Amino acid sequence: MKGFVFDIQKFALHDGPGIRTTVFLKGCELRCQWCCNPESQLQPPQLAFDVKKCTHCFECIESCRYGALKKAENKLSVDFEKCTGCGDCVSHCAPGALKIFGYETDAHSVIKEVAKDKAYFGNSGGGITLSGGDPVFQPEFAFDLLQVAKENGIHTCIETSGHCKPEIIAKLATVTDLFLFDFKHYKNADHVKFTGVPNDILLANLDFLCRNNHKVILRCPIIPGVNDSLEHFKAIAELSKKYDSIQMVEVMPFHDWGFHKYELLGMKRPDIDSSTIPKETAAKWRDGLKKLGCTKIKI
Amino acid sequence: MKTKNTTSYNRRQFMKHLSKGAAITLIMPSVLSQGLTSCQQRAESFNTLAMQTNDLIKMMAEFTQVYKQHAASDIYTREAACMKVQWRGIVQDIQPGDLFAGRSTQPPIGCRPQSNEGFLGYYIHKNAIKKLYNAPDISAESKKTLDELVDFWNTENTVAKTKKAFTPEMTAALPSDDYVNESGIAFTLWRMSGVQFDYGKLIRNGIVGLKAEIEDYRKQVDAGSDKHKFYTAALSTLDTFSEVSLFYAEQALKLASQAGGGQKKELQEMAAVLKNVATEKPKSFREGLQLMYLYNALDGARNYGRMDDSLGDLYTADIESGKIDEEEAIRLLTGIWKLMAARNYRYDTRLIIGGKGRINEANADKLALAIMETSKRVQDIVPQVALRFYTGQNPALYQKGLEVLATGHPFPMLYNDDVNIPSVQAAFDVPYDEAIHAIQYGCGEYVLNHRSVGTPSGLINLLQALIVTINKGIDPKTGKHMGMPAANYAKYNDFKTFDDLFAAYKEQVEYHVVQLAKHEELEYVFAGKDNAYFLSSILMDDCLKNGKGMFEGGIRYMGGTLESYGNSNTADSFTAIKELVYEKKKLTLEQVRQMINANFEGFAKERKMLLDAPKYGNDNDTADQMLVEIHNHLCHFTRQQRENTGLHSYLVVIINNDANTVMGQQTPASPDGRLAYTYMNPGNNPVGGADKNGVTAFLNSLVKPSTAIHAGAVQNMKFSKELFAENRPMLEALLQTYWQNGGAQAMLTVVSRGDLEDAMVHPEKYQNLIVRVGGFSERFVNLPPETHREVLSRTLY
Repeated sequence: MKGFVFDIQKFALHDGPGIRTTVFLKGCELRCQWCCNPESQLQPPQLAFDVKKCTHCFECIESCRYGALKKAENKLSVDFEKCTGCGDCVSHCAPGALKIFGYETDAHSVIKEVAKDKAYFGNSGGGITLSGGDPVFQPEFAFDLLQVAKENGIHTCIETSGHCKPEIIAKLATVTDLFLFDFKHYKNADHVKFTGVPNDILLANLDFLCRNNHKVILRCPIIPGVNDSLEHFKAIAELSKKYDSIQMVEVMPFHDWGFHKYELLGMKRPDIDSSTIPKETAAKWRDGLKKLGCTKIKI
Repeated sequence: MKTKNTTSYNRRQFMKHLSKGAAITLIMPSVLSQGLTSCQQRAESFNTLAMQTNDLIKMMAEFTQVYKQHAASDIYTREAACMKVQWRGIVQDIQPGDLFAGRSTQPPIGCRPQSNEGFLGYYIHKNAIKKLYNAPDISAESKKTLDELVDFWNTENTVAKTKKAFTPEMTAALPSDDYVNESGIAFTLWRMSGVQFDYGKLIRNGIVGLKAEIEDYRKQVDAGSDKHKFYTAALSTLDTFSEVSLFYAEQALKLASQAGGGQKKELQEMAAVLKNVATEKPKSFREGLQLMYLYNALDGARNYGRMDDSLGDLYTADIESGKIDEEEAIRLLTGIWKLMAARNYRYDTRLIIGGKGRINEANADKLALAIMETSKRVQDIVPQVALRFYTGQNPALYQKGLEVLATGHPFPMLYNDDVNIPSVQAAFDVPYDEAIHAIQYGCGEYVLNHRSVGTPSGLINLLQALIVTINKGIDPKTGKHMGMPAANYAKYNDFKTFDDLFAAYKEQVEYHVVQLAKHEELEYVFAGKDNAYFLSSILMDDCLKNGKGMFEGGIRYMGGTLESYGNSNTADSFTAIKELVYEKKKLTLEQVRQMINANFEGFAKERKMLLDAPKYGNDNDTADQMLVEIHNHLCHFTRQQRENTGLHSYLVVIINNDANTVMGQQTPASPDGRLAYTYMNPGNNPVGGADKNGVTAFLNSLVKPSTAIHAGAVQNMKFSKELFAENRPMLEALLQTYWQNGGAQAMLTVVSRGDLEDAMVHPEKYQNLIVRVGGFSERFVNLPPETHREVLSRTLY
């Protein structure tokens, strides 16, 4: 089974327990307004153009069979609509201004790379984490990856929105040791508004996982003006109390550290207040959550 | 002369005090009396030990006169006599606040195993001489004297004599020793570095004990024999040490008489310490430190052996008896650290703690902890503390090491006995009981502590070897022939296959290594012909037993080493050539030759292809295997040279100093995409910035080249302070896995704000620097500049 990956990051310390290798799968059904991995949203490989690195040598133009690269006002212009993501231009770009996000690969190749760090996983209680995008967007590929990882004796973890058919979650659960399950907005209408999808499906999937004693870490991105409300924190606290299966709640303050990538990909930068959240604010959120009865907060 | 009657230096009393004083008078009465006179004069007008220009020239003239007077005598007697003059140009004043005596310098003409400006044995420092000529206070008479001295020593120094003995083959392969200013494949080095003494023996026995041992040996040989002269001169050299110690004692007392309060007491204490260690066994930790430091300084050695082992017993005894507490011990160590820093041998000054093979491990461990605490507080670039550890060692040492590293201090460097001991057994071909004594000196070369010498007497630039080979014997920088004869290329079919090119490169390397090994041997022969280096040899096994200086065959294992540079650049170059020229055929070798000779000007696209080829350091089997092949060839061939020489071992060292940069500045562009005249990779590390696949991949690559075929390779690792502070268990798991996987050594840098700032300016050097960003981690270089500033403000304040 083949699938699309856009990065393999080793020595990941914040995507589950221990030393982990995080495999980023491309493609996601959600369009969260604060998304900091815009290159992960679409499944096929995508061209990125960094105008700051471009020397306008125009060596790349001839290499493009689709007419996506043009000279305009003595500068290189990229027509992202025409680009197919074939990547032919990249090797013609000496300064590295053109780059492709994503490539097609198979589960065995990925796990072969991941398994190189097995000794590190063993000494630290780590393993593999599938992230994205959303791994459930490529369910069969994700299943293959996790299954091959398990065959290799590697602890498996998956970071997901949980927004998928229940049978997908059920199948993935058979090869997943720990779910890093996102919880973005308690209110269905606002969930639709800010992510493009409703929250009922994912809440049902969360319920399924927890009722079947699958280990879950609830990951809660907190975005000012979106979900930093008392009601949302109450909902987080309620979920944590309701399910013993939820091992821990992670409060993840918003950041815009990936926003520069929108421009590279020819995408519109999110229209969201991107001011930095002070440490004290994040601490206040965690404190508030604690007061609401949530006892499993990750510091 | 115990502690009474110490207010003025009295030569007669001193002679009486020395139980073996007869040894001195036997040697050179006339010289002695000259030395004596000036000593007495100085003692009387005791303001400073540091010599003024004209006095220094006078001393060097005297030194030269003594040398000449011994033209017909044996080298031992000559050396001992020269030492009696030379020390006056070595000693430097005790400074306010010093706890120990032993500040030292090197006179521009003199004799020692290793000296400045690339010399050994009898030396002349040309740059220092130039400065003397330009000194404002130099007299016309001194100038004339200096002319004569320069004239004499230019041909009489040990290096000049060695150079005269070069064979034509050696001259052809090793035309230069100026690797700083000239391009070349191989260079000679001149020094006898890396002697690691048996300081334990010195401290357990004191000068009195050493003299008793030498006396015993002397009794067993015929009067008038060479060995008799050897032992007699050895005793005389120890007397010189005693004289220096007493001289310092005198200065301390003089200073004490002018000082008040605590300072006075301190100086009086220093004087008492110096007086005792001049001849007697040290009876306290403080005395042990003073003896070790002064002995080292007088010899000119630059490393401090296994200090926890040699001083652990005195330390523990003083602590347990309540004589000192740990704070006082740290204060004393700080005093030694201060002198080391003033001496400023940043490439040396190794001090080893921990590991197998220590005599009293429990006591040594206690001192090792105090040593690390001292380094943590002092935070200076020396001493270069190295911590050895093994499975089963008191874990407090390793933990303390990490604690110190977490502060951003680069020491201790970590050495894994579990890997190193079997590696040393194999590489050095010695039994386990000897291999446990392998310690490092200088930049990380292993020697068997006080059992072997292993000075690197040559450098090889593998990358230059490849570049010249591709150009069939022409150095692109000068356009002139370099390396193996042009005729040797004929058999390689114009490099039609990769194997042809690789075989030619190997022959190029071998052509130089054969001569480098012979040069090492020659250097030892001449080093031994000129000197016994008594202070060194007395503390090196089995020189006393054999009645010979260490380089005359006295030492148990006469080993040598060869520094190699550019290993990773060379491997990456071959990987790129193999893939792009011979496999994918996207380039021809001729194109590669043209583009490197043009420093890639007009070849930006092609350069990118070379840069994009797999690189060592990413756990990529293709690239890493190439490094292993380069490594195996060099190490095995070098190791075989012991068959062609009288050396017990001749091994590669892949170490870290600035030669990778300095030689890189003479090295044209290379097929790995590296630009001309820029630095090459350090040690066993990947090319800077080529490792882009995370720290675990980096570590996995590092353990692939064998550790059992060379005498040391170093690896640098940079971690963020945050990782140490917030993810210590993960960091420990990471390192633990590295050690289990065969990691032999690590030099850890915990990056500070300055490093992050540098990462913003030179992101290519920081591909693996991972910073915590809110709920996830990101490679620092992947973040936009404005975020860099953000990270700076967030994570490091």
